[in-house]
Amino acid sequence: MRWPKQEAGTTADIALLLEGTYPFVAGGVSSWVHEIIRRLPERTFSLFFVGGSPESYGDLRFELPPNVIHLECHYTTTPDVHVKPRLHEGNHRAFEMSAELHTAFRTPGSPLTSLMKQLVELLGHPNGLSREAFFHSRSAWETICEDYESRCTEPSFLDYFWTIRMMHAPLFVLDAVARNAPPARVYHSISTGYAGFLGALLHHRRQRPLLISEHGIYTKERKIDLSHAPWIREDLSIFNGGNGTDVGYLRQLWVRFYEGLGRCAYSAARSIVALYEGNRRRQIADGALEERTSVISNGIDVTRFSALRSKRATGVPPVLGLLGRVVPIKDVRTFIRAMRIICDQLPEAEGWIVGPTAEDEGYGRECEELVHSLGLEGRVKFLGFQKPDDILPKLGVMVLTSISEALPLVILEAWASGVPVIATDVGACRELIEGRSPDDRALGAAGIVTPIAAPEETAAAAVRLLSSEEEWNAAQQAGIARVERYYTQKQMIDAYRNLYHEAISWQG
Amino acid sequence: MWFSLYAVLGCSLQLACVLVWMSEPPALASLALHLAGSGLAARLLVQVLPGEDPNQRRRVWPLFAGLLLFVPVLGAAGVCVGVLWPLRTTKRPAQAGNWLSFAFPDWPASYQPKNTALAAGDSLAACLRGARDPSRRLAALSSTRRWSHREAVPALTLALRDSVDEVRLFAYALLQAREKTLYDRIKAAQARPDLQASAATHRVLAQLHWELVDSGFAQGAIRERMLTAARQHAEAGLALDPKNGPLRCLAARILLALGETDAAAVSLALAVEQGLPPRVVAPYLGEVAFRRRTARTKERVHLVASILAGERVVATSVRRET
Repeated sequence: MRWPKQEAGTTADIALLLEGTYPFVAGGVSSWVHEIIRRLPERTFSLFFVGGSPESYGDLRFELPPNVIHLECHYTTTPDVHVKPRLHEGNHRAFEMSAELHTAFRTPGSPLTSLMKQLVELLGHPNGLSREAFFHSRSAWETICEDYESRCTEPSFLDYFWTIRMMHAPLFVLDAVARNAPPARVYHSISTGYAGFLGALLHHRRQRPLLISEHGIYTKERKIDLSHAPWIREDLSIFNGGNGTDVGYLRQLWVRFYEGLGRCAYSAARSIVALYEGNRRRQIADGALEERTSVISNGIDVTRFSALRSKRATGVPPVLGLLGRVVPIKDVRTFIRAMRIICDQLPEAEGWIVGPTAEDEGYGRECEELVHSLGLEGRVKFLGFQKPDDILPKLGVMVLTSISEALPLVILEAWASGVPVIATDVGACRELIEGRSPDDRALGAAGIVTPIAAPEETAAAAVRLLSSEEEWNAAQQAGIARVERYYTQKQMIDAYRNLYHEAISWQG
Repeated sequence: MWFSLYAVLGCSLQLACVLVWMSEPPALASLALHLAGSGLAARLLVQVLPGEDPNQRRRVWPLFAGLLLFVPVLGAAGVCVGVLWPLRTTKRPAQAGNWLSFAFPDWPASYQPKNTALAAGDSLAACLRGARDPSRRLAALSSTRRWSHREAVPALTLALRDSVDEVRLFAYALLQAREKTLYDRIKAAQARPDLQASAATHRVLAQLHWELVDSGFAQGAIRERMLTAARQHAEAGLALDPKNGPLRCLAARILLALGETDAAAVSLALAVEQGLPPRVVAPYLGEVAFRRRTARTKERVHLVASILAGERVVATSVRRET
């Protein structure tokens, strides 16, 4: 398919900055982005996709709506341009400014805006912080050596040197994107990280407002990934100053790098949106100004899903569905283990895993092997990607065993279709299922909340719901009432329509 | 006062020594007087030494006393001229000028002293339950990376209930990484071409399935499944190599976990007969005896003795029981 290209002289209303998601990855965030674009046909959108490497992404997973007028993709691991290195002095003042910015990153609460403005002026400038200067100038070398001597603890200089180079290289890619991007009235990043940093660069270069909507908290997720990333070399033996409880210096460096990117994005953003109150508090703790933060909950097209209720057969089907990508963060293995326990108690029960396995094929294979080793062939089925409309009317209970979520759309879709939910106590799941305000709680529990990685509790909850028609009916009615009152797509789209309107009207 | 007393006594004794020596030479009395006089005179000289440290003075006293005893007159003169005079007259540089004052330097950016509960000597579980600062709980989790599965899994499982996302997710990641290691090894063993014919492969598979159970990775119905798989592999291995004592012992442990106490006891007895040291088997026999509640006092004594001495009495004890 040919990607749309913005015509010269035109300006998109909103430039969406997307890291590792829409339109190349299916999932909750991607569906959300797709709906936002589709439901705001009066606005034009340009899409900037930022990914790790081109091999990690396939074809478009969504048909782009007609109001998408531009799509371009960039990758942070783009191979080096083979230019013969030329040693030169570099701009000492520019590197001093960069050191000031890094000092500010290390000082929680210190203002970044003026330093960011200076950085944007110098970044990519031939006599400033250009890629060439960063990789081949004496100033860069001296800065790295000084930092190594004054701050670094256990890693070798070689590891430190290459980590610093690898860490900063994507920033020059993003700077080039920001310089060449076709114009837009508002920049809207769907995370912090690289997309958020690109948003900060665009905001400072183009003097147009930046909005950030975070579903999960990017910095937190990177921190977890990095805490056990095997590709970071570290030696924390006692001979190297480690005491067994330390996190290696390079690991900390990576965490601080992503925290720094997050703070750059927050400092540039005019409006920072979280999906629920817990994440808003987290954004403030990570450096967002409280007065710029707000909560806009997810919402769904209730009418579309409520039509599915009429397709349900009478009674409670003994079918448990996990709707989501087959990836470790969804903890599909816990669902399979829970199914083993459920099948021992309810032999007619079935578990359906509905979602693509292509994103992490190794994990998908592990899950299939687990099904085999637990003797669940025929009881647990991998159905691949399916339309929710075809699946939801056949489910007795929707199960979500994720170890990290924000405010999962799939829970709202299940409720609107008349399916109670069992979900782990992550993100907004508890406040969704049990209610967040007294009025909301008065509607009753729309399912059961379980701890993460707890197949026993998940199984017990499922058996309870499937065995008690009275409890199942109460949960179904509470779910329908809650989604119809608090989580409609209209509420969400109206909130974003207003947000875009205010931002587009902003004159600086 | 002591200084004067040493001076008077020391000089008097030395004078008496000289007088005794000159009037009539009874060697012993003269020597005794000289010895006492030298000691007291050395004590006097030590008092004159500069410095405040009494330990230093005590260490120097035998040297001075020796010099005064073995080199009469000249020894005392030598100490006075060669040691005391230079030490007391040489001006020492002013100490204050040798020091430069400056503030404590900052900690390196990478290191901030952490008052973790671990450092304070508390248990890991106490830290995971009680430390208010999530970074301390994360540090506690980080320390489990060096622990065995059996030690780490309960702590990581506890942390899965933590109120902070990062702590929960970190614990989950560590738990999954450990579990994956075991499953990967199971997968590798199952893929070996000699699976059906190799007792060693069956033993590895029995051991790995057992480890999943013993470390706490598998619970409830999954635990039963894993135990059954472990048992099947142990039995298959023993069918191929019936005299494998360690595998027999592992089979007994699996049977104990499955609640088959009698079969476990038989297996343990066979393991000992097949040459496994009784000391290895003794704890499991203890478990068998506890479950049966039939162990008589004498047998318990034998059991303890066998653990301590590594004797073969355990085997006799077991045979009697079975």
